Amino acid sequence: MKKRLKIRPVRTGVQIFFFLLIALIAVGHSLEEAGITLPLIGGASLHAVCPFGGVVSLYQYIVSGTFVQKIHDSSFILMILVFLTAVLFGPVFCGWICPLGSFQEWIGRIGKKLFRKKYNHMIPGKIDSILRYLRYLVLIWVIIVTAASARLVFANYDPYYALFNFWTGEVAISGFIILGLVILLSLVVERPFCKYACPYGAVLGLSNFFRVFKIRRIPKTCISCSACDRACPMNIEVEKHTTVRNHQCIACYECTSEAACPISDTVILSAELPLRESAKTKTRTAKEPSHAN
Amino acid sequence: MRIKGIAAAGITILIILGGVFISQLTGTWITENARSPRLITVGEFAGMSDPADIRGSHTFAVIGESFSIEPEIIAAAFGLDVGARDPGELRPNEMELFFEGIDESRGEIGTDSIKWFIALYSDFPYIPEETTLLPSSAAEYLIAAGKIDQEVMDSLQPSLIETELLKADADTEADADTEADADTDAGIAAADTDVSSSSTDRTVKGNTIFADLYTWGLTEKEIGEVTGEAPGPRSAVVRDYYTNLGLEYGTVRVALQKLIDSK
Repeated sequence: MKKRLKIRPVRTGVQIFFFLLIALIAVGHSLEEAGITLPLIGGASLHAVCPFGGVVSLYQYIVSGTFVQKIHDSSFILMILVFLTAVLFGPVFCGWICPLGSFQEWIGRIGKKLFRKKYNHMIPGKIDSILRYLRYLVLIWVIIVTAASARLVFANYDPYYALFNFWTGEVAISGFIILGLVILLSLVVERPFCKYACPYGAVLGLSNFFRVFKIRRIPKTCISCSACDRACPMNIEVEKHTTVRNHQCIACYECTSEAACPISDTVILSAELPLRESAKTKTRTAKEPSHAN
Repeated sequence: MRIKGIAAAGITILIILGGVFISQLTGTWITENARSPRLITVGEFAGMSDPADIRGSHTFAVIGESFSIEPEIIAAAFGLDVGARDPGELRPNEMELFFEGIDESRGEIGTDSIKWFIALYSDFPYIPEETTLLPSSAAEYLIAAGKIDQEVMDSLQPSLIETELLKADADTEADADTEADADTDAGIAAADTDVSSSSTDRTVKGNTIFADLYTWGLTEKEIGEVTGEAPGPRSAVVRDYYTNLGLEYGTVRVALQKLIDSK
């Protein structure tokens, strides 16, 4: 067995970096209004560095060539860059960069200590599987109300905005309530906002169907220990599939042989199944559905 | 082809941060609205900064630079005792805080008052909102400086209000910054709190969009008739749309307001 790279500490480091970066940007924006400019950070608002702002502004940009209020060119650039990375590797933005996702994970670590094995398994499967599609309704609602009003209506309900602006007096009470709910739910469910309500996660999650590099399990070497299933924060049953195409995958790579999987080169990230395996797995998985979950 | 998860994440971060860096180098990384009023491109006033585009978040220094007037003069005309504070740091959206004690039934002194003052100073035609007031001291400065004549002074009388010398020091600055923050984000003259009122009080303001006009009962045909131009997309800001078409927003606003009031 090869010595495996540990993904977890690297991912945590990256998450902390981006969380602090966004926090600094939020503080920098407040300070700039007071006439103090932070070096390197400047005075950009959170909206200006949110790629989802580009998504909700698409309709107005196409129709009238302008952005929704508070959205700028920078949001569009980030949207394009994140889409590009999602086409290649899936929603890495969700699993490694999004500060709200990281925040939920950190709260979840308290939940894991409190509820141990029950953590992240308390919602009945049927209800959970239906709720997973709720975020697409949120996405549709956000796009429609933004197009109709030309304003960032979602900011009033966005826990991410509330988290990084709680001191500014600009956060609506609804934003605080939803942030509070997300914090409480994070104690029993891993990444509840990502799973059930995040409209940007809904957009990026679709990349799992066509991303170039997919998470693949090599049945020949798999020992069916379910370590990959247990490691997945989104409750995807990796062990049941040879290729993960689940719309909820956040590309955290916690299931891979670089992290949870105890066998080298068994859960991997690849553009296609290795040639030797593809013929064998094609036969073995003939009865499996065309995509996971 | 295989790739390590860590490498995939590393490439992702490189693409995002690298993309931001490249866009900064090429000047496409824009994170805020224009910091000064836009220039008029057509007509008699082409090349001049547009007083109607003064925003609540513009500082007096920026306004002064755009319209060749010292920030100290604007502050003095509005009767503001800046104390230790640099008058160039004052912003139009602080006016409502400074003048919050005035009789609300008469109107308010806010960003639109600054626009109006600057328009009068620049001899630029501008129709303020009906509720906009000017401090008497501002009008007195304008006539003393020869910027307006007695006839204009007389026409201003209904909108003038006597004010006391107000402290515009650091204590009020902190409060005002909160509003300035919202205003800068919005990129419009009115702060976010005005957004809801604009859609409920049936008043055409700087942040009114065409969807608001339709909500208030106007039709595309009626808007076209009173403005002489076809209306823009539902999401477009009325002021920006007509200003970009070369129309004087104040005139358009009054015409639309009359139509709304007649409903």
